Amino acid sequence: MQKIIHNVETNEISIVDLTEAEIAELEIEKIKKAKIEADKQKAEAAKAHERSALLAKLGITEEEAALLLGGN
Amino acid sequence: MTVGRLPSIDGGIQPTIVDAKGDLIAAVAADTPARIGVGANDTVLTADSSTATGLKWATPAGSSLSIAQIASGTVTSGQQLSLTGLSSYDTLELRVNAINLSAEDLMGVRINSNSGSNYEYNSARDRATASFDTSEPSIGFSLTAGYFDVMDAYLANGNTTNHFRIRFTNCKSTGFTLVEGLYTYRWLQSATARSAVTQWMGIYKVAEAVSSIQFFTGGSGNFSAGNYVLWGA
Repeated sequence: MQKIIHNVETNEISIVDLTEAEIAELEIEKIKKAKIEADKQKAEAAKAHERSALLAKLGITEEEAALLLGGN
Repeated sequence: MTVGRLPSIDGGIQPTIVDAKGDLIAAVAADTPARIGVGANDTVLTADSSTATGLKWATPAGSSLSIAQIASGTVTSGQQLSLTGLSSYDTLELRVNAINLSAEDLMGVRINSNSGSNYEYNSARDRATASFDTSEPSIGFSLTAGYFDVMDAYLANGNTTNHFRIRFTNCKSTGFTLVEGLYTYRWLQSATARSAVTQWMGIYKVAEAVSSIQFFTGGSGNFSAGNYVLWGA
């Protein structure tokens, strides 16, 4: 794991390894990201369930719904 | 009192010491007055220990900023871009464009590598896809974050349509720093347009000057394409 350091005063650009502390912080961020992804999947699953329920209520297929809405 | 004469025990300063409208009298040493000729229009009297009287007429510093590009480069590897050597700038604007990540990931910004709970911000995000997304628009805020969440808990995608612009003001002050940013994303995939916009404003609540800025991923995605420009004043 690396970072780009650009010293604006000297215009020197270097690539160095992240410190142990920085890597530890990234692990925390990975947990946060995993939660966001889980929430997103949960929301998408709920949405798919709502769509299926509505189609069943209307008695039409997904393709027929797309045709009605003018979608592709 | 006679006009034109400044009284004193020793008889006062002679009026001939001044020659023209606007002339002033200042001391060049103890008990030693001298004339300061009037300055040019719109100049102001300024202390300057290198002159005989310790004063000079000077043009006041303008209120407009002299902003210039101070750095640029590409981000094609690693998880973090750290811009250092910024102590002489009071206003900074960072543009990071066409960012491509190897995997979806969070993006954040820190000041002086400080990971403490010193970042307070409010954000608003809107995202559009081909179908209506009931989770959008959304708002977010944090009074004690460990960085500015520049996308409002959204994940940067693996394509080159992620664009960021972040402005830092009051950087040289030993007080807090104001920060605001804009994230835009638009991608056309299989004739389906997807877009997202996040705007946020915050404050870095540490009483110190800004010497460096870190722009980083959440650790899952590496930079694989993108470029940056930093302006300063």
